[in-house]
Amino acid sequence: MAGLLGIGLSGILGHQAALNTTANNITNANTPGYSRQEVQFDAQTPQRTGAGSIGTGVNVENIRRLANEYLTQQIREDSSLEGEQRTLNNELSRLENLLGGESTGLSKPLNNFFASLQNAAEDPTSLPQRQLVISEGEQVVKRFSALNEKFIQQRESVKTQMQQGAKDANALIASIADLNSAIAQSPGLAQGRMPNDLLDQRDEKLRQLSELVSIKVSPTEGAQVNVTLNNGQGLVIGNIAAELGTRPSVSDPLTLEFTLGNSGRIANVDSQIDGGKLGGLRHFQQQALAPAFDELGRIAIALADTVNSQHQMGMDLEGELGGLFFKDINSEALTRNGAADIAMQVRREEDLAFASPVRAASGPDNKGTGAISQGTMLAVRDPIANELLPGSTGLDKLANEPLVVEFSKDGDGKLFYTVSRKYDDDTADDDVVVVASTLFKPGEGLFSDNPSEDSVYQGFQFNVTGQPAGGDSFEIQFNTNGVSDNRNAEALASFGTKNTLNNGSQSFAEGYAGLVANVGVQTRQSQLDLEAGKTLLEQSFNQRESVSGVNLDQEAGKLIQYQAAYNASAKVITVAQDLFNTLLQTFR
Amino acid sequence: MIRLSSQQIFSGGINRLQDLSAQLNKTDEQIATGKRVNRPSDDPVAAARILKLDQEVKRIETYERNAQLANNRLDQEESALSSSLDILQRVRELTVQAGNGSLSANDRLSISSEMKERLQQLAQMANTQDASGEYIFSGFQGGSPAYTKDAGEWTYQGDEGQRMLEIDDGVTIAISDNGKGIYDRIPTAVSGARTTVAAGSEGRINSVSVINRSELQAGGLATFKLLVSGDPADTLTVRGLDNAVQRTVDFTPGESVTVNGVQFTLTESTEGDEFTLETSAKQSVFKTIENLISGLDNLSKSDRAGSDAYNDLIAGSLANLDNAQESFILKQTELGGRMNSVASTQAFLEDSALYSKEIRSQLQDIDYAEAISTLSFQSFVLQAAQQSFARVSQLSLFDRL
Repeated sequence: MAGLLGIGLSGILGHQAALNTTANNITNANTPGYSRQEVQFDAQTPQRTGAGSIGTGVNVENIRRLANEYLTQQIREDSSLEGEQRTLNNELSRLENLLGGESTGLSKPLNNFFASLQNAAEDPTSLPQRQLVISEGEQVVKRFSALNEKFIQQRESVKTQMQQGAKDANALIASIADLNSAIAQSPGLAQGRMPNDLLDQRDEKLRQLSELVSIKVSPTEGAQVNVTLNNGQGLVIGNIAAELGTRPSVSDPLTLEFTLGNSGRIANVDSQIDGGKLGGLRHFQQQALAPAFDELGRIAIALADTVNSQHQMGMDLEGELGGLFFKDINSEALTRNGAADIAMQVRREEDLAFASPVRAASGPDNKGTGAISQGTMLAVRDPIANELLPGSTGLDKLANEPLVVEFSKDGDGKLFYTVSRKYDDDTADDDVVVVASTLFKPGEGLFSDNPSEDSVYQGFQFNVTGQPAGGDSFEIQFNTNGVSDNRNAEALASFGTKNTLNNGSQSFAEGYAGLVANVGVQTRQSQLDLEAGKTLLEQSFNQRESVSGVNLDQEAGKLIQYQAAYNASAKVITVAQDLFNTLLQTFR
Repeated sequence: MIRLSSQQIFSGGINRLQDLSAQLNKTDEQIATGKRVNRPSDDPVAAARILKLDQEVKRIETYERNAQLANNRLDQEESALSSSLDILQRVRELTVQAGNGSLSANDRLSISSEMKERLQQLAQMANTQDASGEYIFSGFQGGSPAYTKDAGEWTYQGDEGQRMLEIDDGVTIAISDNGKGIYDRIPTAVSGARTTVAAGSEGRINSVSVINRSELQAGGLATFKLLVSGDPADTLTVRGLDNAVQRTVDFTPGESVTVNGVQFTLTESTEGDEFTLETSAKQSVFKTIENLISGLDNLSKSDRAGSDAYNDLIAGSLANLDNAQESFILKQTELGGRMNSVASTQAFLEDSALYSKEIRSQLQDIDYAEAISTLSFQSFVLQAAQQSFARVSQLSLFDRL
């Protein structure tokens, strides 16, 4: 009878525990990282009798936490992947909106600038047209610096996020270490009774940490875990927490690198930060933002350099050689600063060099059909010494002016030409021969195109077409008063379509389109990766949930089940009491 | 059987709903902007091509504008030329009139005074200015007039510069011409002049004309000298500019003689006179008219020599004027050709603008029919998902307890 009472009591207590566990499950249905628990019943040690063993009731053996370490690990890995792609996608989308937008991109100002040059070529003396070229040039400069400014903003925002992320990670690392020590000290551990809720908390912290950075978790003694970066640098060892930090990168002080501080020693762990938000930021900085910076700077420098060198080969409205169009930025060391440094140098409309500083005229008594071209400038400056070439020492005249091309026939009727500098007094011995007598080939250049060939190279080129007669002459001189000349404007405008970038394979607009396409492809890729990451994460979340998640219907069923058993156990006690009463009355 | 947790039922449902509304939102954005590609990542390859096509369209617009402007300039030049041609025509008429033997000195003066007006007018045409005040026939030096009067003569001040304009990729067209090529370098009629004078000689050369051009060209000499010898003069030694003797020819004074295809008459020449025949000289149309005017004003027809010189002047001038006319017409033909080429380039540009825009639209714009049907399908799915979520989420065993 006492046995019956004891058995009933054990049932009541056991099911009370079961009901409590179920209630706990129900209330924690929405707790992140919570794993459902269930009571494991066990029959108590039976009482042996001659007839055999008689049971003595139920015993709560264990409160089991339904968790699968493999699935938890899977979630962590997928969280790292998803975290990285999400961050990457966020930042890339921002970058691409900036670059690709019609109102924010570089294409429009570039197109307008070259169009304004085309238009100005039609009427090179028109000051309003010239003004338009300058203001369109300013638009290009402004857009470069605006884009650069936005790039800098984004770089700074990435830095801030890195610093914040490191702080968040440190908070998590510290609490994981604390939880480790709490778990190690929890009573009953030695008997295999796990501190279920602490384990859940720790798993949740680990999951949150894995959203920030990819980690490896390995169990160690006393149910503790060691947390390391992918290559083994320890973040949490037992109950000791390391500290993640940031500092300006050695290779590029404008960006940050990650460090890990462990008992006073600080090591660079930048290359080991992989996955998660921090990995995503690092990835974005190194593989999207830095190349975009460089590419934009490269376009800026190439534009400034190309336009400048052509502009300097021209002649302005006041008859002087062209100056710099953009500020000279080629000397700056860093490509990525190109976009920041580009600036207008030309201020006055009159200083735009739309004309070419040379021209030629046929002699007054020419008999043949030969016609001379108006000439093309090859260079006015020696690229190495950066000085004016000997051919054009003055700002407003040629060094050898006028140069006279004279044709003569030899005995066999072959046509030869000489080019020489004539002086006013017209005595032959004063002449300076620039090109000695050379066989004439129609349409071929009179001078050399090769800068190393001394006087034969004058920095400009002319050619004679048709058939000059012996005795014909042509005169080459500075294009004095050549205000209506548009040759240099045409040459400048041609850069709008000419392939000048990447060893002459891309125009400026194409170079920029390439940059946009690059970022676009990366963004597209990160979108797809993000989709995939999301799906993977959801799948592993579902798998974990199907093992560890709380199903309220199930818990309701259990509630009924345990309640019934509780009631039944209570009934057993009632029966025991009845039995007792019956017995007592028997002896009354 | 897969076990589902309650959290899964809710979060799964909500995730689905979020995905669906994100898709719906994207379709909505596409419809609102009318563009399929709103940012490069929507279709990176198309985005790069769209940028390229934007540039292409912009460039074509610039070229179209340039072609229009080129046309305007060519039009202006053409009209200046046709006015010049009209003036020249009038001058020619006057010259023919002046050739009439019955004219009095006063008649000639009145012709010359009209010619002076016409000359002024022609100079004005050669100094035509464009809308921004540039002289269109001055070559590169549009800031200064093409012709100025210098010691009574109109002389060319410009250079041989020609402005080219790009009206399509690689297609440049000349939009100006220098006055030198039109008004200045005009072949003159063959002319003869006495270059060495024997003492007391009254010798002169008249009625010079080319009667056999192929023979002249075969001779290979543009300029040749004729030395008179014999007493009375009856032999001509023909020499080139380098004084190499070519051959000798007999002649009778006062009668025409032909050398190298050039016919002329020598009168009253004596031994030692030397005449030079110039067959390929060039002269400006202004000089031609100026010579005419000075002849009309100054030549006296009272003696034989004056009369011969006058007739030669009229004949030579007519030939020169014809040459000038030819030069103008040649330029006009050239202008016509350029205008044609501008017109065909314009047509081509229009086509390629249309084509580029069409491709851009294909890459960038949405197909509304498709987008709207996608939209209605997506909203249908979203609605269904919402309803089913509302149903499923209501199910709970606790309601039955």
